[in-house]
Amino acid sequence: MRKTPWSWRGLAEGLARLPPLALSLLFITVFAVLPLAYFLSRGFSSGEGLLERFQYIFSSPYYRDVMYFTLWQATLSFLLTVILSLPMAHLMARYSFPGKRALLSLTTVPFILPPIVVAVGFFSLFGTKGYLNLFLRETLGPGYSLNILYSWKAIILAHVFYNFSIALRMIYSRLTQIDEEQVLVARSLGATPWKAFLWVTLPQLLPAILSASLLVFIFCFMSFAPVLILGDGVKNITLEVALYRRYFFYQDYSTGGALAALEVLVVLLGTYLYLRFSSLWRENILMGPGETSGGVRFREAPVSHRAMLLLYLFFSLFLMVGPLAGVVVKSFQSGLGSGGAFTLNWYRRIFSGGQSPFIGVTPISAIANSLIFALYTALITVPLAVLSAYSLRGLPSRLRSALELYMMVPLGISGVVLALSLRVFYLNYYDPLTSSPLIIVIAHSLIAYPLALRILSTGLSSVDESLLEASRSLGASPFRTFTHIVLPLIRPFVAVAFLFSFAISLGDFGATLVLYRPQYTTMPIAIYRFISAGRDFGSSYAFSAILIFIGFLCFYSIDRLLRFQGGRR
Amino acid sequence: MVEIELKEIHFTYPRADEPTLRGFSLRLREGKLTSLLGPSGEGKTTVLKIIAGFLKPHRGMVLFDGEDVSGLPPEERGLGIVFQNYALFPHMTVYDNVAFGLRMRGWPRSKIGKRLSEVLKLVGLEGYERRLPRELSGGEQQRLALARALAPRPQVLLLDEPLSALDAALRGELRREIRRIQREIGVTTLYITHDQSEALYLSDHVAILLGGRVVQEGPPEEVYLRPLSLQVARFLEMENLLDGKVVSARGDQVEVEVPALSHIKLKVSTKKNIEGGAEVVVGIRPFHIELLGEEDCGKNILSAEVKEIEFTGKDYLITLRAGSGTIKARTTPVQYDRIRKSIEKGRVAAHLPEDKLILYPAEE
Repeated sequence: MRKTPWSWRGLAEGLARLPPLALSLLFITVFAVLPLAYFLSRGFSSGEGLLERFQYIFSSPYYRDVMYFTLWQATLSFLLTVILSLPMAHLMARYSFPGKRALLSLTTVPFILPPIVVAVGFFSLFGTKGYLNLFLRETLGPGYSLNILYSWKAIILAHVFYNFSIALRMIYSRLTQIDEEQVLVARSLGATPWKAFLWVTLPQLLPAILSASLLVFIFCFMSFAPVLILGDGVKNITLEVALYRRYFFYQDYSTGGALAALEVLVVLLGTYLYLRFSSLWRENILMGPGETSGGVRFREAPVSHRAMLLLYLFFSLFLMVGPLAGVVVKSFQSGLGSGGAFTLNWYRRIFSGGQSPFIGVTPISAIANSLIFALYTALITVPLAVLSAYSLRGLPSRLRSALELYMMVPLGISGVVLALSLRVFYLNYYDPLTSSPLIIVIAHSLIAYPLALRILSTGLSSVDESLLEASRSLGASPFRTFTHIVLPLIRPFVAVAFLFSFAISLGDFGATLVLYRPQYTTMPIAIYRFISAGRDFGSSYAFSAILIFIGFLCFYSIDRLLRFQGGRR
Repeated sequence: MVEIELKEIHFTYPRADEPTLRGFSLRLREGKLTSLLGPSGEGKTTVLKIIAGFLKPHRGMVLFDGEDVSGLPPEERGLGIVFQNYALFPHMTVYDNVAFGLRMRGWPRSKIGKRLSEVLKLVGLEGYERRLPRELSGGEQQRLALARALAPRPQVLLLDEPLSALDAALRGELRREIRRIQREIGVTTLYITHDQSEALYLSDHVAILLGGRVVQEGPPEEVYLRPLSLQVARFLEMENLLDGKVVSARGDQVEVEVPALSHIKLKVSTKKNIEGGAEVVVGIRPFHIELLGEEDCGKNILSAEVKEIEFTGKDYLITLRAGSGTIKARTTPVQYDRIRKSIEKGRVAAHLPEDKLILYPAEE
């Protein structure tokens, strides 16, 4: 085989790919990888060595409890989530019914919904005066109520709420990819419906179940806001909460760093496995719910299936919508008592411009802060992701997947650890950054970047290579090809990535809590301060309702964009 | 082996406005290969799914050896199915795919091994046992699907467009294979296709599905050469269909005037009862038209101008013009040489034999 002749032009084109890639690599390295390495090393360098630190953690009954609880709750959460979502996914793949499309769209909501809002939603349902408890007392009698707040039960339930639709979506979309005729063939060969499921469908579903399990496990393992707000705060806390406290209350770098190292180890391993499993069936959970048209009509389902489907529909609607509806209704009610009268007081208080004693700024500036950070986050993340997705495209596949993995690193680091690393690193090396609001935007961008990159890679992979070749053959330079062919084709994906980044920044709680100064209070922080310091639930409901409103705007736009995209193919 | 009969089947899909099958009847003769030939979207696969028990007809009956099987679930009907996309189990090896039906029916391990080597030999896949479906070529996947369907010795084999995903050369090879295997084991077979050459080549019996029912059935030659209706003739691509008018009718001898072909008067023998003055369509296949030198004349002979000559490799397809109409004729190289002079001059005579002309009443 003859080698491609060397040319200045070829070299120039190769080099032209570098700056956009280098920009992203630099961004990840300088703001995620180096700070993390520094933070973890601090855990082991202050006085004692690595082994002693681990020895201390593993011998301390307190930390043993924390580690045990972290693992236990993550395991229980993913098991419950998968067990609950599996039958629902099966029913949804099998039958078509009115509202199926809308229900599948709703499964995007958890990606956009701030975790703190979910926690607040739980107050609106399970508080002593929460709706569910009011309902139970009214129907069953005064003695009946679910007292799950401030215990592990609320944490697990919140995790199931948050992850149910993610698992549902992953399993459902895999199910719709399995050829229906395989089951018919199995039946024709003598398999009963149950055996056909067991031998033909289930083995092919397994990668999806595994990757859903891993993803949910990782999310719950790193869980922060629900544990901080809904848990008892003492016994049942996760590593994430423990290391946050270690650092903030005791300025204990070494134990904090060692705990972080443990967490990062588990999460990175989990993330790596997840990426492996999900690549087995090349699914991008963010990109629309997949096929929604198929299925037997609901009316023709057997009665038992119909009953189950209805029950499940009710259950999942309650699970997905209940806490949010609770928040919105409560935000318009006076007092915290049952059935308070309609009022706009909470909103009036927010928009009156008066300083709140619990947060460092006026509520209006908290809203402004949130929106500004979100806008900057999207403005930084999306161009970076577009450029690197496009430059990655032409690279040899092995180099490409190595670089992609590197760029996914922030996905394997929890928000709190990411922010702590940033803070510790730059306190030491470039102090001014830590007091600048820029550091919050950087942290948010790091969290949003891997998702934006995945969305844009998917978008780019839908652009036919021959279009680029055609453009080049007609005399367009790579740059003109990019601006005139590629960008217009992936415009909807750019918009979706923008909205996701915006929403992620808007809802971020953990990283912001570590990095913010009072004057940079965001809405999630304000909500937390209202609850934890002020016990001012009215304001937190109103703030949460505003976040839900903005979140739904994002959700609606994303859904429209993806639907349009889906219709074109 | 079993004889299968579908009686007056009616079926409508839930969201459809029109019924897919309306009074569909067909008998699959024991041990024979019956083709169901029809255009795409006419409900051929629906018929298969009804035989298999995946769909329940709204009216009508499915009989296996005279017994109603409506209460029998698919897994108890003794079927072998090959779908168009094969629906191979992607997570199982060749061996496990083929063994699946035997395991589901509880065969002992030793018997499974023996049967498997038999079946894999039958389809020519020995040595492929440990491969996964995605490691096979298109043709091999097709053989695997066939082996999997045949392994449990089904009473009936249902093939749904099994060759349409393959390229032309492989199609030819595999349809010979399918015919060989079917004759060898003599299983009652339904072969679904939209490709008439496939149906003609393979079948003992061809049934044509149009408008939700079987409009004609019989041995392949009969169906191809004597379509019963204009609708079937059109579906089977009868190339020459000429509008005409009956000038005189005497018993089974009819004289038809075709205005488009220089008002030629054609004698046609027919068993249909047709009166004088009726509007008709006359059909004839190109290979039934006999080309003669331009000087020939006589009964049913048309003098025509040569418009176009296409050489297909085994014969010539010649487009002729007479008056305002055209007809197509096929001729062998031998015959072509015989009239080469006339063709070069651009005029020939075409003989339309009276027993090869088919008469249809004109459509309203």
